[in-house]
Amino acid sequence: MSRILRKALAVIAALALLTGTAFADASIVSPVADSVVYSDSLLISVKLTGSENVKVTVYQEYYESSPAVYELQEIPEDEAAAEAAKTVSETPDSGVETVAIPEDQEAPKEGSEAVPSEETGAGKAPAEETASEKTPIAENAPAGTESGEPAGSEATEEAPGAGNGAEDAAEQEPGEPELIKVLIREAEYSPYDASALSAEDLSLLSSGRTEDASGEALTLSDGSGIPELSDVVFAPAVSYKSDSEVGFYTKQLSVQPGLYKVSVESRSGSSHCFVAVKEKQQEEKPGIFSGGAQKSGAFSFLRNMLRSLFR
Amino acid sequence: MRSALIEKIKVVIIVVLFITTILLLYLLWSPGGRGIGFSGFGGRSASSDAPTGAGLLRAEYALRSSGSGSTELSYDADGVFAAAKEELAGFLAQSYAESSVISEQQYELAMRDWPSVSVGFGCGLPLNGVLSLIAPESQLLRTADVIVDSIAFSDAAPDSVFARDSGSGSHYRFIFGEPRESVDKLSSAFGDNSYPAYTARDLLGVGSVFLPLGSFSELSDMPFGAADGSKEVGTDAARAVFGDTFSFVRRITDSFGNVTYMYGYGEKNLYLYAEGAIEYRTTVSGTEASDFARDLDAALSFAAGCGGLRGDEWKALRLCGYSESGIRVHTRNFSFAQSVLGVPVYGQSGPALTVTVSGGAVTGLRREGIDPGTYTPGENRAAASPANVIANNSNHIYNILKGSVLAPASDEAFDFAAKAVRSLAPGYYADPSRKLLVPAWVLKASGGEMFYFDLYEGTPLGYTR
Repeated sequence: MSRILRKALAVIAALALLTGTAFADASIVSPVADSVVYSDSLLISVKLTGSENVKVTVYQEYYESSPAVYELQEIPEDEAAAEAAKTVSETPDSGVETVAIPEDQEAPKEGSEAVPSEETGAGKAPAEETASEKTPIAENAPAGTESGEPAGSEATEEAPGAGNGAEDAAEQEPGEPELIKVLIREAEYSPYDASALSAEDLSLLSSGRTEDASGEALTLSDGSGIPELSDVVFAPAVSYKSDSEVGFYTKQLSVQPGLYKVSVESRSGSSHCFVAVKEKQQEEKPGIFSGGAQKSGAFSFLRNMLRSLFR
Repeated sequence: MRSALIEKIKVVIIVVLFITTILLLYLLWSPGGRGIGFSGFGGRSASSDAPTGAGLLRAEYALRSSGSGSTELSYDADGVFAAAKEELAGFLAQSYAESSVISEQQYELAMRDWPSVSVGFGCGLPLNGVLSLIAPESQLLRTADVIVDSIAFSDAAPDSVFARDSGSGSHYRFIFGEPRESVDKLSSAFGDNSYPAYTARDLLGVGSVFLPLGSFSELSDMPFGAADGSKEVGTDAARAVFGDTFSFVRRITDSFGNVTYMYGYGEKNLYLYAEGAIEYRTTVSGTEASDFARDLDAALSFAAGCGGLRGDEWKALRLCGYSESGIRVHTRNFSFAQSVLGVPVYGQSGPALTVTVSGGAVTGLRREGIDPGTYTPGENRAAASPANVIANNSNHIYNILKGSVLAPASDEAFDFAAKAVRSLAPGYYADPSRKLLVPAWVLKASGGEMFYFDLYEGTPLGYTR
């Protein structure tokens, strides 16, 4: 009987543990999803229900303000291998780099825009202090393969922040000069200007949709198309664990105007929300109180006199 | 001839006596007359050592908003409150004032979107009573019979003073004739010891009270003993209540050392507890129409007459709680907390001094002061997050306020607890078992209940209903 009782208690305890885990949840309280904030500080508040471990990351959204420029150059065969072996640091001033061209990606036409890789998700951040940071996704991105392999193979080199995106050089007959893709200018990324975004625009960006049901391209409220945004880590991922039934992770960040994304990852899933930080306009604020003490002097005099008589 | 003269003299005497009767009736019995003050049957007259109510009126916290979305909270609000009193006195010296009820949205816009400063009392107080303490000679707004727990100034309306009662969710704007630069003056009085603050709605998703995002403190545990509970103090209190002759008064002592003085069949009782607490109760209430300021002074006078608090000990008191009830006979309850190192001290039975005034006469008093021991400052360290103090203890708060023993759904308990919070501020909790003053977050609920949580760990220490 005692063995049965012990087993029953163990089952009940296991069920309680699983129930607590199953119903654990994390939700973003602040900022309000798809909201606009007029402040130089941003409050992050995440509510954890149940014993939960979360990772909170804040990204700032960047867009490609200037595309990368490539051109195809001919290099004699014997120089191709030596060129491919060069690292970026050896040719810092030449503005010429050799880049990896995975097989499954097409080579851009000469002078065309570069296609940023989806894996890195991090464009070239203009701020130096973030240039060396890697997003959690970027940290797990597959590194470029080893360089030094014979020409014609996938000679690759990892250029920080540089987008990859061309396929292997066209096959050449032995002895002929080899075509290689040369990066002339890297893509430039700038913080996305959120000053024109409305709450509806933010909802649209959150949905991830670019076309409506009829296949027409969706546009923002100002008529522009849905931008391609890149996440750049603004506040590195922070892990937080709550052991109680209800707990909160709170943090305040100093921000500049722009578009930010708060991402919360937990065992039960992940969620994110966009928030547009705008600069408060210095124009005349509309009065929030109508009327007020705009009484005429004669009226107030009569009123005070009557009050004093009957006081 | 002679008889006619005598008759005339009689008529004059009767007329004089008649007029004298009318005047005496007016002086003794009319509400506007001076009357003759009775201090109850027996007892001494009011003590001249009693502090004034205005001196014990202090702010629990101050809030400053930049108008660009950031708000700071400071618990060191004495300087800001002094400036606020000056500004209020300046407004009340004007000749015109108008009251209006505004919406919560208007109030929050005025506080958030414009530079503003507000001071909070930590409890609801009658506005006309507060103004009569600050500017007793002014008659402006004396008919504003509303309860408020904070007063604010905003550049949204420099000619106005704002007030709020977070318990009922009411917001007020009092418009005066001339604008003043109140926000600048109060802002300059703001100290450096402040923290970023957000509303409970921003931090927790529900609630209106402002909470600091985080704070630091050097408060550490401190031993304490009971306040002077000597026999002499007890006898002085008994003489103050019953008079020197103790006529019709019985004295009862139990085996624990508690002494009870009883007048008649229990019309007036005085309890002197062995641990030093003093309690007074009477079933006889007054019949005077009174106001907040007079009742407060009566409470302090009576408490001073009972002895036990002298000189500087009075300066350490602060008004920390107030409630009122009754229509025909107005009953007011005043609570005063003892301050140690600038923060209030609360025990298991609540603040150090509570006085009940009914119909202008004191009908109840409880005094349980503490005598702090030697203090050793601790290192400056982070206090428990106020948001998590509420969240982690929401079940505890729910069960105490609801009187329930069953565990509620976590969301239901959390929503209820977050909405019930009226203020959260640091203080000391006098742990009776360890005889230690423990640094604590003091949470006041909307019904007057108080909860105490460890300042650094956030764990429950006790509560007072």
